[in-house]
Parts: sequence; structure tokens; C-alpha cells
Amino acid sequence: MKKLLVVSVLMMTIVLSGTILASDFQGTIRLWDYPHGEGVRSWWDEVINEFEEQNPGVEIEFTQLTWAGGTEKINVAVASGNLPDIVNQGTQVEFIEQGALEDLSGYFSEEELANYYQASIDAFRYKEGIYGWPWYLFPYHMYLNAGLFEERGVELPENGQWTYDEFVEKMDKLTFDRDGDGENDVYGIAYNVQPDFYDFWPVLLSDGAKLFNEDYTEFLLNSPEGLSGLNKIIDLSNKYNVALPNTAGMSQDDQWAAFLNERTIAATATGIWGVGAVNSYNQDLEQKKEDGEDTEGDEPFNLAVANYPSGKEMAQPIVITGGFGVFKQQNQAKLDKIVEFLKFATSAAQQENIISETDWLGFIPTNISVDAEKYYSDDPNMIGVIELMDEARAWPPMIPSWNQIGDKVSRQIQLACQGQISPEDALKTAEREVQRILDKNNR
Amino acid sequence: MRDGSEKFHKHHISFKRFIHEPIPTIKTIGWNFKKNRWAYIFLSVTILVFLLFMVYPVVKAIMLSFQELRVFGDDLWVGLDNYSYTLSDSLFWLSLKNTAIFTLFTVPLGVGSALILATLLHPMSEKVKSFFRAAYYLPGVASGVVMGMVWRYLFDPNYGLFNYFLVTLGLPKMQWLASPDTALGSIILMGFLMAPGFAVILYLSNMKNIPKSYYESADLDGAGSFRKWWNITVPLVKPTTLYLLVTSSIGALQVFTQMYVMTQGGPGYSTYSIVYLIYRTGFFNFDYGLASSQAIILFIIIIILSIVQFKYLSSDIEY
Repeated sequence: MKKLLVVSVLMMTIVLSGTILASDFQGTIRLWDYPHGEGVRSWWDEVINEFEEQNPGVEIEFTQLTWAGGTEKINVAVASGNLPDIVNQGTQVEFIEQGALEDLSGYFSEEELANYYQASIDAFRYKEGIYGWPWYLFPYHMYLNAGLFEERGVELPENGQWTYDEFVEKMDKLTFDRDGDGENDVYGIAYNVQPDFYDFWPVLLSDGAKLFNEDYTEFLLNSPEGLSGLNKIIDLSNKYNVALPNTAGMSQDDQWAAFLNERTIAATATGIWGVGAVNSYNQDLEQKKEDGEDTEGDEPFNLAVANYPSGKEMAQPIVITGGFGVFKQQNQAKLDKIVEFLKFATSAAQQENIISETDWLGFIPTNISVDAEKYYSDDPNMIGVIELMDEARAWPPMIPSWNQIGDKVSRQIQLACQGQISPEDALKTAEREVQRILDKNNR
Repeated sequence: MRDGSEKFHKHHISFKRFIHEPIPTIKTIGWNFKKNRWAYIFLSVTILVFLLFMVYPVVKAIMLSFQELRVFGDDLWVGLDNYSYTLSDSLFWLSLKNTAIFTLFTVPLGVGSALILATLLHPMSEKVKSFFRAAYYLPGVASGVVMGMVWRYLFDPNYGLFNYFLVTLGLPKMQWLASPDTALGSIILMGFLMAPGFAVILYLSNMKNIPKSYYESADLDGAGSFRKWWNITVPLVKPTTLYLLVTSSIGALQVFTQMYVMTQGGPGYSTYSIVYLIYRTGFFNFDYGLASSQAIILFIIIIILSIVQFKYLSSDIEY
């Protein structure tokens, strides 16, 4: 009896100490994030300091990546096994398939899930799990030079919505010869179909084309709907002549320069950063005027935001969700502490702080409860972007080898847009190459 | 040489002479080590670095080419699957074709232009030669990424300097990097116009060693400038030419920076090079085993090309 009592006490001691250990992690959590502006860096310092004060013994080691080399740094870290704990944009399906990322679905209550934009959760959903913690949204829309629209007496699309025919009609009116030399020098649209850029894919998919079947074993873009969508893009250049010459071969930087600086295109499509870039341009111009600098020839840019033109179906803008992947942890207590930190840093209150106190132009929170429209009430373009979020499609598709697949398809589309191959051949070749990848993945 | 070379002291410059040296035995190796131990000790650091950072990665890459790398868990042995996939991949062959075109144009043009520049500089004073040596060598010192970015702006269809000149001359603008028809040519042009500084320096150094009496004899025989250059200078700088052809070919077959900075392999696949394919396969598609197999195939191609170049271009040179 005495022995039994001693053993029971010892067992309880072990269990209790294990519980304490499990719930009381102390150590370093390594966090990698991309730059979002100086104000955001200060915000991170404050958030980290506050969390560390609330959790003595826990240290958050912050590393700022660069946009140029960040992807490679993450990939090398994964390949070498020298992984951080939390990485922004670190939710590649390949990492999930190899068991490198933690499934965080167990940390979301039903109530918490309902508080996120559906697209922001779908962005990290793979099979039965959720492999990322949503933080911000990065939607893509059409950006319009409202000044040019006004100059040519063209109405902006009502509520930001237009059909393809309406879009072409307006682009045609916005394609004209400004300097009277007999050649057009202002064009309606410049579209980006470069590899790794999906800015114009909503038009490609606007007639109802699908990329994959449900279990991602079959590539479906080579279909009448896919061909129709591709022709919609090609026709802008070859049939209606409303696209900037050789737009399909130009870089995003060149197109943006033509849109913002040269004002030689009336519309383009890009990510939310465009709103921030235009706001920044106008602020700089305002500052130069106040400083008495020569600003002759420089006019403020009048921006409007719209949805992509609809085809047989309502166009769905694409939205990339910025969020945190958590690499596999050996220690349950550490994982719990990491999630606790993520909940703290991405809470509704902190997302409001980012909007109101930092210089992150174009931050769109993933929390529905954050009244972003209140904070952007003086920016009709941000309001317009937020209002179009309901129809957004999560991007990129959560499928292994998406980088490779997207690259293959993009290049075929680019060649078709440049007239190097027919759209039918482009989709056939894309189908053959993508199916090869899918078959290899499913081997 | 057919111009009375028997009058001159024979000085063999040949790669074949090493074949005729005696094969070392264990005893001679031991004796050599004892005699030269300090040299080996000082060399050991370099050898260690070489083994660690050059040999080990190559051996590891060879092993990886037969595997499928996994972050967690054991790597999967797939045998020749990666090689089979690579050799049946149309993109691999397209990349090889682009790389071959790039090499076939840039190497002869680069080496040839270096020879001509060196020939023009050779008769000048040392001060002038020093200035031009530095001027031609400077681009080689600059970062490839920086040069790529600068040239990208030169080729810019809207703001670029080249199109500005074309428009000034009344010619239409070109799309340069934006068109699949001109993108690879633009990158080749960049490779050619960037002066081959190192090659010029090597040629100048070689030309300095050519006895002036050859040219004097040729003058006496009534040879013109071009005949002297073609029949004296060009043959006598052949070892340098061979060296430059081999090293330039190795460099050209591994072209990457220009594609990465300027075109990302596009438009379409028009500037997709082999090394760019390896980079995309490894770092974008996370298929390190497949990327290693592509790298090993490139390695074999480079070895074969180098052997061919040595076999057909090397020769004894007699002064």
C-alpha cells in the first residue's frame, strides 16, 4: 500500500512537471518576414517587445528578408534543414507534402474561422489541413487612369463592373493619336502575361474555364472556355488593337512606367501595391509643389479601380494572402507559444494598428471584423478594392509544383499573345507539359 | 613554321611534354614529400578549401542526381529517373539550343574582338596601353547583376539609349528584350559589346614575347600588315587563343546572370539557358535531384567540348 502511494505520487509529479513544461515554453522563436516599410519594422519591434514582456523567457528573433532574395533564402533554409520557426510566404505545397509545415487547423475555433475572409483561409487550406496563419490580403484588380477617361469623355465602369464588350468599346475610345503624327501613341490597355505574373489570368478564366479537376490529377484549361478566355486577351492586341504594342513581352516595371509616368495607357492590371504607388506619387508631387520645386508637366494621377471585365461568368479578381507558415516543431509547448504569438500579432487590434499607424500603403486585413473602410474612408480606391473582395478567388492554387505549372502555362500564353504560336497550340502544349508534371506528382 | 624558323632557338610550348615524364613510385612520392614538406603544409589549406568547396559539392551533386531530396525523412533513391526525365524534356533541349547559340556567337566574337583590340594596342606606348588595359578590364570587375541591370535599361523599349539612337537616326524602335525574336540576340550583343578585358590583357602579354625579328624578316620579304598579322601574330598567340576559347566556352555554356536579371528566360522560352533551367528546377520547383541531373549533364557536355578543343586546337609553338 505504501509502495503504491509512493509510485502514485511519483507518477503525478512526472505528469504535472510534464504539463508545466509543455505549457511553459522558454526559448527563442525565429521569425522571418519581408519588408513592408519602415513603419511596419517599428511596429514589429513594438509587438515583439510587448509579447516578450508578457512571456518572460521567450525571445522572438526577427530576420527581415529582401523581396529580391527572400524566396531563395527560404528555399535554401528548407533544403539545408536550417529552418526558422515562422516565415511569411513560406507555405509552399512542396513543403507541406514533405511534412515540413505544421497543420494549424486545430488552433482555429469555428468562431475564429468565420472571422476571416474565405479566400484568406482557402489560401492555406490543403487537403484536410490549414498550413498557414493569414495576415493580409493582396488582391489584383484593374487600375484605370481616370484622368484619361475624362479627357476622352469615356465613362468609368459603373460600380467597377463591366462586360468584356463594354471594356473593349471603352478601350477603343481610349486608343488615340495624341501628337497628331498619324500613329496611335496612347493605348487602352497594357496587360502582363510574363511568367510568374498572373495579373491578367482573371480574364483568361472569365468564360468559366477551370485549371484543374477536384483532385488535381487533370489539367483542364485546354477547353472551349479556356480557348475563349485566351482569345479575349489575344484579341486586345491583334483584333481590336487597343493594347500597347508588344505588351506581352514587356516587364511589369515597363508597363507601370507607361501607366503612371508616361500616361500612355488608360488601364492595366496589378496588385494592391499600385494604389500605394499612386498615392505615394501624388504625395511626392504635392510635397515638391509646397517646396517650390519646378513641377511643370507633372500632374497628379487620378486613379480609379475596377473589376476585370466579365465574360460568360462574373470575373473573379485573384487575391494572394500574406501569412505565416510554421515549420515543423519538435516541442509541443514551443508550437503552442508560436501560435499564441501569431494570434497576438495578427489580431484585429494589431491589424488596425498597422492601418492607422504605419506607412504600409494598401494593407488589407484578413479579419472581417476590422472595419478597414473606416480607416480608408478618404481613399475611394481602397474602398473600391475592399468592396470587390467578396468575389475574390484565392491564389495561387494549392497544388504541388504550382510554380512549375504556372511557369509552363504563362510562357505558352505569352507566346500566343505575341503571335508566335496559335492559341490552340498554346493550350495543347500547356496541357501536355502540365499533365506530365501532374503525372509525375501523382506517381 | 615555314619562314625560316630553323634559324631560331627552339622553345617548345606544348601540353604533350608532360606525358613523357617518368611515372612516380611510392618511394619517390615519399622522398618528394619529405623534401618538400613545408610546401605541402602550406598548400594543405588551399587543398582543403578546394576539396571542401569544389570537390565535395560536385560529388554530392552526382549523388543527389540519383535521388529525390526530402526535407524530412530519408531521401528517395530513384536511379536514372532524373536523367531519363531530363533527356526526354523538351525544355531541356530548348535550353541547350539557346545556350549553344549563345556560345557559338559570343565565344568567337569575344575572342576575335580581343585579338583585334590587342593587335591595335600592341604597337602603342606603355602609357596608352595601360590606360586601355584598365578601361577594358573594368567591366569585368563590375558585378554581373549590376551590368545586367544597366543593360536592361539600355535596352528599355521606352526609355532606353539604344532606341533613342535609333529614333534619332529615323529608324523604328526595337523591342530588344521584349520580343522572342530579338531577346537572345540582344543578350548576345551585350556579351559582344562588353569589352573582353581579361582576354586583351592575355593577348598583349603573349604578343610582347613574340620576337621583333620575325616582323623585321617579314618586312624584308615585303609582307604587308595583314600578312604579318595573319602569318606571324595569329599562329604565335595560338596557345592563348586555345586557353581563351576553352575558358570562354566554359563560361558561355554556364550563362545565367543575364537571363536572371534581364529576361527571366523569356519572352516565352527564347532566352532560357541551361543554368537558368537548373536554377528554376532547383530553387523554384524544389526538385534538387532533377536539377543535379541537369547540372551533371551540362558538366559532361563541357568536359567533352574542352577535350575536343584541346585535341584539335592545341599544337607545338616554336619561336
